[in-house]
Amino acid sequence: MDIFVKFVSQKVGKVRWQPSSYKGIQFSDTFVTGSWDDEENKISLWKVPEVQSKAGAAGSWQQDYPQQKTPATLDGQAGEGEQEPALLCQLKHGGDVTDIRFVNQEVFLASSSSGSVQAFRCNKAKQDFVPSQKWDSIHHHTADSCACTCVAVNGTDISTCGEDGRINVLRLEHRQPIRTIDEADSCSINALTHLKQHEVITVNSAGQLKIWDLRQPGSQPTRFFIVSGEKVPLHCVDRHPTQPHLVATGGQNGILNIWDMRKEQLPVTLFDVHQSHVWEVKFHPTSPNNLFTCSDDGTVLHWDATKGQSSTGSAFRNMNTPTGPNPSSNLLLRGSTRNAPSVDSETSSPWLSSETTSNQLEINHVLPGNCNPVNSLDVEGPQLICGTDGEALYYIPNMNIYL
Amino acid sequence: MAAYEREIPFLSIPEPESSVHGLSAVWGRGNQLILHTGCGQRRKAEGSGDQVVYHQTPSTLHQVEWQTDMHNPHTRKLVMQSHDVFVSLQKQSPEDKNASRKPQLIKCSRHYRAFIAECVQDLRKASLDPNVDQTEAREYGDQCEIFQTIGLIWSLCEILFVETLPGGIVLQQLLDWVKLHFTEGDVKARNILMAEEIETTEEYWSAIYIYILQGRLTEARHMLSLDPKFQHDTHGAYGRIDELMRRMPVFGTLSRQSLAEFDLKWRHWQDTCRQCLEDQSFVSYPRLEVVCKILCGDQSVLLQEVGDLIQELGGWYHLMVTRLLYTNPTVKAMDLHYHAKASMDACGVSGRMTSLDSILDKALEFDIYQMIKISSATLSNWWFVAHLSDLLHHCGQLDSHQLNFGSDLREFLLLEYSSTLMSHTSFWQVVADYLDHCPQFGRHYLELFIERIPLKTERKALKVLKACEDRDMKEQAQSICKVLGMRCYRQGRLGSALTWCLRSHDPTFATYLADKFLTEYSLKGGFTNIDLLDNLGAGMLLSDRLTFLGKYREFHRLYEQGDFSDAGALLLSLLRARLAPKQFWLTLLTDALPLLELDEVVFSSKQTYELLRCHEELERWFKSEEYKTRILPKKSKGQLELEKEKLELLQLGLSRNIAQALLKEGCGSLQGS
Repeated sequence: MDIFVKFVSQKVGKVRWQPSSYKGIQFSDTFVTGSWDDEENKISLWKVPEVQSKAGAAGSWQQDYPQQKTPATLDGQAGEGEQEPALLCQLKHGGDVTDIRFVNQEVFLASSSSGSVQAFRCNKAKQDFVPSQKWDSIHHHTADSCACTCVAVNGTDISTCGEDGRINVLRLEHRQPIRTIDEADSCSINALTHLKQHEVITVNSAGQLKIWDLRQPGSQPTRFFIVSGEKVPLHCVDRHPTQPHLVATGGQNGILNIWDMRKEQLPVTLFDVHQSHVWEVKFHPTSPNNLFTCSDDGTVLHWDATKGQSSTGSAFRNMNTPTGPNPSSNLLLRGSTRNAPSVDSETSSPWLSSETTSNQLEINHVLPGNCNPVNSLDVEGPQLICGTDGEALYYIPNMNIYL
Repeated sequence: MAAYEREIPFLSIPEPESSVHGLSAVWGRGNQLILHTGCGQRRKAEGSGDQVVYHQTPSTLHQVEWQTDMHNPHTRKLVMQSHDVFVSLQKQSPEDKNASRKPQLIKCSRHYRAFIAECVQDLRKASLDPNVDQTEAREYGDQCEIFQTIGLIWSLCEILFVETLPGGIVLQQLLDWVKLHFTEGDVKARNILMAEEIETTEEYWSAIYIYILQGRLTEARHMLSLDPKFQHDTHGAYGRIDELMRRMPVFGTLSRQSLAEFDLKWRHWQDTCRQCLEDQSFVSYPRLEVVCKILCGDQSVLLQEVGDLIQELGGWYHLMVTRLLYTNPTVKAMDLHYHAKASMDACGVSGRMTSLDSILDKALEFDIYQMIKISSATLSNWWFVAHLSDLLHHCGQLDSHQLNFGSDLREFLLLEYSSTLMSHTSFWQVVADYLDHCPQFGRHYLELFIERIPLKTERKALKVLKACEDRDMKEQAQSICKVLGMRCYRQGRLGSALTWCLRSHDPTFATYLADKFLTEYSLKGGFTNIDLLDNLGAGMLLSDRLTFLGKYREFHRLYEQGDFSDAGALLLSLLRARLAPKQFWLTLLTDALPLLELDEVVFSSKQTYELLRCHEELERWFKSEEYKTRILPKKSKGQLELEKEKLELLQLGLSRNIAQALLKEGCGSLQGS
């Protein structure tokens, strides 16, 4: 596993991959970062170098087949420098960047600690992005501004939450929010995500999880969950990409909670591994038996629940291998195609069965040696990026991710 | 800032009225002042009574910061990188034996040096970038020069203090040092090799000389072999000099030979060189004669024929290394300063030493304190001295030297360095980590600093709070929660305020907030923030009032659910436990009214007696001195009438309930019997 570090001279608050224009065929090579806690904050667009063709890029399986030395590996010295993400474009941003989400391949939204949400449009050809639409102060107190903490996107629906406990629903073509739930929460809402078309799930500073039906009037949630034990704030939430009743959250005490939306009130499984605030939790979008968390204690963890299940093959080996320098090993690989996991995922999700998890779940440190708080991570295919308060951007092009 | 000689910087504050009223200043964080128009006249007029000064124009705040060298994007990178190394260096326990720690220390030193070099590169790139404006570019250029100097000094210190070899034979390291920092030879060689045809110009020979002066004989021989004359070497002069250069013995730390053995070989080799010179082998090749003279350790040739080159390469310290290479290759580190003196005299710098000269000179004398003192006075950069003295402290080279203001040198420098970082919004985590390792004043500085970090968002507040908790700074953690709680309260967000209060376990604030909730309830007739109040859990026990609030809300919930007997019992227990403030009793009793009016009997006769007792107690309280003086005057006439009416209704309800309850209980007992 190669790790590339880029010092960016700004504390990184959020990182997000830009969706690839050839989804499923090619992984994205651009991502967006937003800084926080600086005198002048910035949003930046980065490009990662094309590493897939390099020898070490495709993981350990290649060791069995001695690679022919390509010119690229011979002058490795020159190649190494190229592997750092390169800055394409940078714009100033008013206030901390609290969240970034892509609406589609070109448009992304950034929320600000000043309470506004701004849309940006990327231009692939020019390799830059420009601000387009802005919703000013949609989160506010009676007299003061207040931070917008999170944005979630589902199709054309955009929902935002803030420290004022408000939920706003936006549409790109509308200048004003199309729905506002004013007193949705009595504390700050820290994160939200879409559960279904009109359903969002929010987490707040009092350890509560609420599900809202955005079509229903009134300011009451449809369902309500709460952490067990001390009511510590929850900072992040993510939904299992294929089993929508499974939700993971991370909070102040470093505990990763897995919730089953079909059950009542309390979390189903608790994993107490981090020492401090869990700032982001993320299921792998296409291999959801892999989960990633990052924390204020400087660790990024890869929760691998594939052990004990059928396949051990890399989920990305076929995509990983280009029609590059070594076609023969490529062929061999195709021969050993991975088996689709035959486990009935409805009944035995590795995230729920707590008594079996201990031997099924493997937890790996992704960034050994880092001591600075990690604020955000994003993963696409085998590529992982994360950003820290140590003003560093970590880029790992070839995670070992199994189905 | 970037100059060696420190000038007193002059800055004028464009405040029109300051000429009349003067300027006032308040300290910001670290090296930061906030300036504004003062009220100078007021003090002048003090004799004739106070006179309030009205400014014609609204005063602006000016934020003045200094020593901001480390705040630009390129040096910032160095701040973060060196922070990581610093932290990992502190983690090594000092109890370890010197031998096992040394590789770690050398590694740290190398890391620092690598980061300095990276910083120099970035700064150079930035100073040449056409998109950067001119003053900024010039500043980057100046900084680049300073960091280059720092790199030079650091490498020498690493050789002398960190990577000390057994036996103290330093020549190889010194050669690496000059090779690393004076790359003119490589530049020249590259120019020649890039050319289509190799020409034996002045530059060509300079490159060869520089290689020889730096002891890089392989490169020198390679360059020499490119000379067309080398191929047609009729007199064998080229071959002979090549042979001499090839056979020069080198003392490596890894070679198995003993020092005496090496010395013997080396002497023999130099004798051969001298022999060649005496034989006048090179008399028709003046260039080669110079080379041979250098190899023989001829002093005069170093000052005359190649004197200019040595000046170009940095002067006396290069001369010193070259001289040692060809006269005294087994020199010990401890003797270096004699040779330094001699070289300085030879170069004529003794009288007019620059600060760099004196820093290097002090380092060679092993006078660390003087070296650090001169560096901090002239380099305008606390980064270098702070990190170097910390590293030397870990190497055991810096014995705790008490300064006359309390802390030792290392701590003093670390404190100064972190102060330069404090004025930047973003460096607070770094500052905290440095202050952690200042045993004497660090804690105190940090306490004061943490209280002054602006907290704009909850996320930042949580991070600062975490920093406090990690360091067991209870008071500061409390005050952060209090500040945030009060801010939420002022913005009318009682729920958020309560979560902050619960986080800090602050009972007085909890009581205060619970009162606010109750007032809000009495005014609006309903609770807000139900989601929070219903789920307080164990947090409810923080203060009596909060417990009451939570339980009272529970009563409402039970009532709404139609669970009347439980609701009644809970209400009674609330009254009985006397958790509620007296002015709230009437509300509580009024809440009992609908329960009394129900068809079924909720309160038993015993419970009703208790309610009656509470009713009486309340009436007594209405007559008490406390009530009359403190609460009565605040109430309107309408309110009082309403209260009276409620009390009467209550009395009626209670007496009716007693009757019903007694009747029912009587029936029950009859049936039972």
